[in-house]
Amino acid sequence: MTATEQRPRLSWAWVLDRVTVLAQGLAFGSVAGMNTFLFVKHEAAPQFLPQVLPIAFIVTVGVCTGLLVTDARRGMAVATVATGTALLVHVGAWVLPLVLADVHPVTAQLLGVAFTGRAFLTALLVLPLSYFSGYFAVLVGVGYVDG
Amino acid sequence: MVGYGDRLSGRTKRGALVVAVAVGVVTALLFHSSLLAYVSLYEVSTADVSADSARLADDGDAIVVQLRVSNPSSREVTVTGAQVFARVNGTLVNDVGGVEVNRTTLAPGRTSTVTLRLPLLADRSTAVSAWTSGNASLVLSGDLGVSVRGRTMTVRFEEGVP
Repeated sequence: MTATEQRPRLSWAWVLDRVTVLAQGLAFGSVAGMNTFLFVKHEAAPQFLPQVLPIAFIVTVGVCTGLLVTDARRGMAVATVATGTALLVHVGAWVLPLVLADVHPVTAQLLGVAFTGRAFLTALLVLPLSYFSGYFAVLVGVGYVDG
Repeated sequence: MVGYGDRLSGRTKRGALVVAVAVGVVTALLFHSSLLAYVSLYEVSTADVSADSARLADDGDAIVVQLRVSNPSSREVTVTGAQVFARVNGTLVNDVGGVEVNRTTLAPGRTSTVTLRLPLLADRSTAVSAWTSGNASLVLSGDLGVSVRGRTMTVRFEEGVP
């Protein structure tokens, strides 16, 4: 943090700035989360879709995050929001049948806990790696050109 | 290097936006279809099975059963087989290995009729006549084998037919 930085004042510009970060993070994150689900639950995905393609999409979304949010500090905030959103989308999709289908409440509760845990684990194995590899590739590239 | 917007040309940024939107749209379409398929697997496991009617076949060697099966999912479900135990007063009357099922397709959201033919065991005629004469009821229990988008699963049922 530089010495010339002002304390953030509660103004409309500040609120708009925060909302923009949130919106960008939600947009990138939901796409990344949907692709995580397509990769992990590839048997539910259409047959023609190769299992690896959603991973390529997540990397692409990471690259686009780096290219569209051109401030490294804002980019970190956006990427964090995006990762959180993606996790929520993935876990939510995994647990959705228990909400929609007419499953017995006790079964739904047991399965809900098991599903949430499995969904989190599988997402954490796949998502941060793909997403941040795309994002950091942009930072590294720009840093190399810069230096 | 904190703000590197001026390092990237406007073309790069526009291209990145186009690619991001394209990936987003494609992903949303694929995800929508996959999520519905995934949910439908669980919905099928809660399908409702009820016995519409059961009667002795014309040749007396089998019981023909009409089951009403609902398809609560948003995908087409195909009934591919069944394992059925037909009992009268606790006595098994059908040959479990010889159940015949017509391969029936159940439309999404609808209830359809599935016909089963249960060949009878030879030495159970007393139990069968107890049912046909109305003195006892027939209890059908077992599993229906169903297939949804290439995946197979079973739907358990237990029904009494007077």
